[in-house]
Amino acid sequence: MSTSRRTFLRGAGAWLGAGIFGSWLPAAPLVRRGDALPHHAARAKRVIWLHMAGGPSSLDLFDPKPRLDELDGQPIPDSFIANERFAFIKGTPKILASPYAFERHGESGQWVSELLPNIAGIADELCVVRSMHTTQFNHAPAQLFLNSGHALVGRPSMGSWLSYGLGSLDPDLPSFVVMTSGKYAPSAGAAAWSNGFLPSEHQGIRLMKNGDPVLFLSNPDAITRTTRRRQLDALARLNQRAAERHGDPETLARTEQFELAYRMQSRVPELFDLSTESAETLALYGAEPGEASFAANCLLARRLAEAGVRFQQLYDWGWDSHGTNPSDDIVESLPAQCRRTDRAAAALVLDLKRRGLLDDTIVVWGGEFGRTPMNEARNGSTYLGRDHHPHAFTIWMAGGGMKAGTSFGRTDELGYFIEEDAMDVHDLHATLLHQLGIDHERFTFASQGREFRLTDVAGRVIQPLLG
Amino acid sequence: MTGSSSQPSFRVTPRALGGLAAWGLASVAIAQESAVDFEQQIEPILARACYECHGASEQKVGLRLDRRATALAGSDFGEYPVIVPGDADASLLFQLVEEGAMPPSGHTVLAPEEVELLRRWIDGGALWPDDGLEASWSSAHWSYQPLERPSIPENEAAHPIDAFLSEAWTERGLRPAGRASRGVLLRRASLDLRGLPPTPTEFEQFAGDDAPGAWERALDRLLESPAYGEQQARRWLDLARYADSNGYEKDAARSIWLYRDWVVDAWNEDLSLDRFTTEQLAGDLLPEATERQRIATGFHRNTLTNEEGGVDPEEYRVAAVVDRVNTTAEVWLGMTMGCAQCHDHKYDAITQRDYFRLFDVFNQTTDGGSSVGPVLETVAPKDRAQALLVDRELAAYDAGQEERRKELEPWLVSWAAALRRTLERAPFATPRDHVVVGGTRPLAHRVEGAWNPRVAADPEAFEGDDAIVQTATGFEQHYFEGARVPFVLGESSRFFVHVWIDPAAPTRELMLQFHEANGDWEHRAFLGEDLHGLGTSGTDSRRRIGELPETGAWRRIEVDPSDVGLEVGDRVDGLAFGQWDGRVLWDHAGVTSDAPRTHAGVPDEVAAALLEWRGSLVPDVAVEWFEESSPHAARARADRAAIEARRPRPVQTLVLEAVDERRVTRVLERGSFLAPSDVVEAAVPSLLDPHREIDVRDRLAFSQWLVSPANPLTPRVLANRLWAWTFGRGLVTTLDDFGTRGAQPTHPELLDWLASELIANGWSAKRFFRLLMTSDAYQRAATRSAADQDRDPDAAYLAWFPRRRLDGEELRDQALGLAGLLNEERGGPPVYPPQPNGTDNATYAGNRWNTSQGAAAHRRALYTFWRRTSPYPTFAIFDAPSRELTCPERDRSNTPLQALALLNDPNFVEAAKAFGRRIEAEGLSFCFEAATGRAPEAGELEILEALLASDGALATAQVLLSLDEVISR
Repeated sequence: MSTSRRTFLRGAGAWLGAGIFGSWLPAAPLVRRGDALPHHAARAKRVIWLHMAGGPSSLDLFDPKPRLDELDGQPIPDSFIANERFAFIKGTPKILASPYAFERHGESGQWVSELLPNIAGIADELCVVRSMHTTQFNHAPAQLFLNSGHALVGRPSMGSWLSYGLGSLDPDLPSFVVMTSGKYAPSAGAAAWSNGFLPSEHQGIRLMKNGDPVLFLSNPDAITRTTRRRQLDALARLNQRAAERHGDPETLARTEQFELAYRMQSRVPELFDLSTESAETLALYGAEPGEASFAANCLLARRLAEAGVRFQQLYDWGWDSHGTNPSDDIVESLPAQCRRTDRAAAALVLDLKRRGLLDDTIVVWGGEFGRTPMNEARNGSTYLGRDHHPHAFTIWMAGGGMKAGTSFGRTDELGYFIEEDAMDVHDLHATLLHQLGIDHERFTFASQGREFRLTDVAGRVIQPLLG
Repeated sequence: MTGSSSQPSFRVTPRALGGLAAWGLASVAIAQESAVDFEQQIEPILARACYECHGASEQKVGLRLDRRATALAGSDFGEYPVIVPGDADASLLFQLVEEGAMPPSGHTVLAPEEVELLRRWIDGGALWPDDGLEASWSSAHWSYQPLERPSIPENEAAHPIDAFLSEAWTERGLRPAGRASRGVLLRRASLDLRGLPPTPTEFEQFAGDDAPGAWERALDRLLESPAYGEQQARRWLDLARYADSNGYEKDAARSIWLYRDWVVDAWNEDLSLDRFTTEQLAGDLLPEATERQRIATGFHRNTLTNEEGGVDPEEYRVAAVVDRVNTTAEVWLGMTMGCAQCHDHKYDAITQRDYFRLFDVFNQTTDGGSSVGPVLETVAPKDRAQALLVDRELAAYDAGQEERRKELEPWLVSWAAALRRTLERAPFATPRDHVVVGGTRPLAHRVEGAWNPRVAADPEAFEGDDAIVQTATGFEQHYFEGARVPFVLGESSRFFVHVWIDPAAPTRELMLQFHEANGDWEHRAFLGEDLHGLGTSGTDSRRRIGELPETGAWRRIEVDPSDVGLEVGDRVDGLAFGQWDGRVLWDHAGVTSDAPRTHAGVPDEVAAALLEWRGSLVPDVAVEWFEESSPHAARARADRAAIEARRPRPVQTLVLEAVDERRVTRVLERGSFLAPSDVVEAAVPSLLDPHREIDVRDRLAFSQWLVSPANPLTPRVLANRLWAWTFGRGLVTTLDDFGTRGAQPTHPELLDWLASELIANGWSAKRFFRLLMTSDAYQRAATRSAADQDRDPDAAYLAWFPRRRLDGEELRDQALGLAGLLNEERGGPPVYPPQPNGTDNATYAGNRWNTSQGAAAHRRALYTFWRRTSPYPTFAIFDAPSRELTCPERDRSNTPLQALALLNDPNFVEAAKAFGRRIEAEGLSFCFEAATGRAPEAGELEILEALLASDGALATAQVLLSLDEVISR
């Protein structure tokens, strides 16, 4: 143990030596501002995070476990569940085999189940991690943890960190946007895209499914664009006079925000007008102009990435496959959920690639936790489903210098615990930040008397994932 | 768990290296023979080689090695421990010394023997003698020093505040601005004190008051306005993290608005800030605590609760207590104690033990982490008179009833005797329908849903004239529970109901639900599709019993009780009739009885009682049944119910309640509720009480200490906060951090003078605001030269008045006020002004945003329902916090979304329309002055007149309401 500690500290000493002890100058030794970024050459400029809210079942999608077929219906051995707490399972649950067939796909031979034929079709683009784990087994805390590195409210989410550190690639557009699809918004609500203690302009901007995509974007009925222009001209002249009188520079900055808003009023609807896309592209995603859907969100995400939005999160609700009724089981609901999203998620990767954007855009697909290898059978339900499972789940990434066609990590024969190459939420954050040119240990913000990081006091860059 | 053993071994979390927790353990296990003497051998090395940069005068990288406690607390690189007792290799100090990186080249060089000594000292446990008092590292930091009232500098300034401020101007070459115009000044004070602009009358009154003391009189009028309490409460509620929902996934609504109203009243009554403190933290523990004092304890019930499935309530109870400690420390002590939850504070001399001593103070309440209680239930203040009236009417009515009852008594005995004879003769019979409810509202404790009677156009009732008609889009139900006489299930009992499904509006699902007396509703049977979503499919709580009956005809549905988990002997006292979509008539529902006697329509229980009755006093159950079933009694009951119906519903509010038996508090390692270690007892942080003289065993004692002369922090922190509310910036800019990492005060003497003054004025906030606002500093214009702006970009020295953009709530209230739309009704349950569709994140907990109509949509922003997971957009866009945690100070961002909101948010558009009508009626100049407090210049009027001519009143009103001058003060 002592050797590895030593190794680690030497590693730490290396940057301490170069950054701090070498120069001896900075009284405030850690990076405080985004202007010192990047720390190193970035492989990626933007991130599109497809968050499958509720926690998709890896065991039915990416992580085949033949042993579950053999043990189907048997009680799970006590050794697995001693001292475990579940959200809903009571007593000794029974093992549940996946009803779905798995096959290897592409030259890389990635395992993907029959539920996701389109994602299977891009297997060679994917960097699949089957060994993610988290500490939280309820939706809201797990989503907060996945976004902010902390299970309780109050820390900035990753998008806010990037907005703060890297800013937007286009000054007319927000740097961090959030889209939702499915029946509900994600469980953690606005806390999932909170700026925490970072300045509030870094909070995620939620794009709306209906009405104005950006809140209050449209003029009221009685105000035409010509009138608005004249209003802004009058406002600018009046503010200018006021600024000359009192000399407060904030007043002119205010005028600029009105002008920026005016430009957004034309830019944003253009970006949201999917009818300018070719029929072929619309078909690729399965999107219909004017119809809110996960597919439309994916296509929008590509357009916004193209336009320069730094960090996008697409929450899709409906992956919480408990099996209490047909609308949340793994027989009816999970395949429906896959049909709704599989084509568009794959299309996003393909479309980014053919436009040359995949090289510097990372697409992440995954939920806030996994699902149990056992049938939940809540209150004796006869529908098949799985409870929340923090110990092992699968995510995949594509593009942005992540190694394509990779499988990383291994779970045990039941898919219960991780057997090889565990990767936690902080590791994921550290790795993504690394690709964006950021050393997660040096990217900090002072609040409440101390320096905070997205990765708290942990996180490793997982080198084998880097292309 | 098997997972952890298979984790890669190279992964080492820095904090896992031991750090401070290991200190105590290691010191027990010292190897005696190799003991190094700290004072003789180590301290001289540290003094020679380290103190220059890591000593009393300088602490590079935040490291101070001349004291045990600070050395132990480590450096800015907190995650790499400087000294790990027992493991030199893991100690950064030794690492860097061994590698020759420390001391840096050009400084002292250490001999190899000295390096070896350091290694042995650390490996041997890094023994560092302690004098036994944590006081040995009590901080010399300014904010912990006793509060002494500084003398006022002698200079030409008349007001003490100006005397303190003017000193710095000469030094910095700043020229003070002149006095702002009267109108601008009145607007400024009105917005600061009330959050609303002055009315035209108020402008006139102040402009016309030429007698000395006009300004003071104007301030007094504002301070006496009830809107004053609303404005200050709004600011306080950011600190109190007040919200109307629980937070986390479910984020269901909670009822705690009585606390919000208490805060408004407290400011309006100018409750002294020391009592304001005590009542919020410990009102329930005050001797003979009043209801209002208990309501005040809602302050700390504003913590989040997590109602998701399977949560460990203890985890969230601990999280709530942690939040109470952190919030209390930030709000009253200016201490960021959050860090010390997991480890000793790296910068301030607060140990983890200190933290959990404070935790012990707040660890003694009964509330849980995922439940609602305890609550206080009471009649809302505005309903009190009505409640009294109802009580009085009922008393009078009951007295009359008592009389009538006495008259009835002899008659009742003969009635009962006759009935018993009938019962004794009653034949045995086959099971028959015992109709519990047939087309009318049942007699039960609780009757809910729309019991709409059949109308003439409907088909005949199944029996008699009455049927209940239910029309649904999605799921609807009507139900009752608590029937006065529950029915007992027999061997062959079946539930039944008769339905007529409208062929023009067929339903998709029928659901019948049964309530066990003293039990639950988890017994449901349904026909048709599985849509209603209650309970769990395929179980007693949601059992499918068949297809829907044909439409356009009365059909009987029967349910076997065993299909829904009910058995012989179970007592059922409620039925629910649910449907998904369509229009259905319901009638003639109940249970088939298999009692051996028909009982002539007499309920089983009454029959049993009467058959056993031998005495003269009629059994109560029979009397009750008589009263329920006789037409006369039904009328009387209706009369009484009509009176009762006028009784206002009681409201609940969350309160603190002390535990009966004190909880033992343990230090939680790494702050985790799963890792308790040493027991600690309530105490204030040792740097404020080095000799452990202060007893803060409970919240009351603690809150009294907070505002006692023994604590110099609270008066400084509160004075600084009220100053920041008034001048837009604190004398200490980190309002929540007066520790060593917080900002230094720009004017330390002024701050101490203000803190002393606050106490001397009996902790009166109103007097304190008056003190601040009568200074020249407050009354200055915002005018500054470009050069001065460069010299003091943050207006820290107040040579001119610092402008600030109004908060979202102030902006909306101001717009409604100028538009003449504001509804000034005070207090009561939260309201739901309009917000764009799809914005509100109503979760599966229900309680959707039912947009308030009419004047209720124009209440002050303070009363808007505050949902933590989706804050109201109009406020959030202007930097309102989510109120999940305490918010010491809002950001003041300047974004395009704010521009869009000001011009397009329906709240502002509606106000602009009304304000536009005022422009048309009263003229541009008048409206300009109402909005800014000053008359427009000719050039300004010209611009606005041109716009009015080309684009109309709404366009012009929008510009006026969006002027930087109007959205700022």
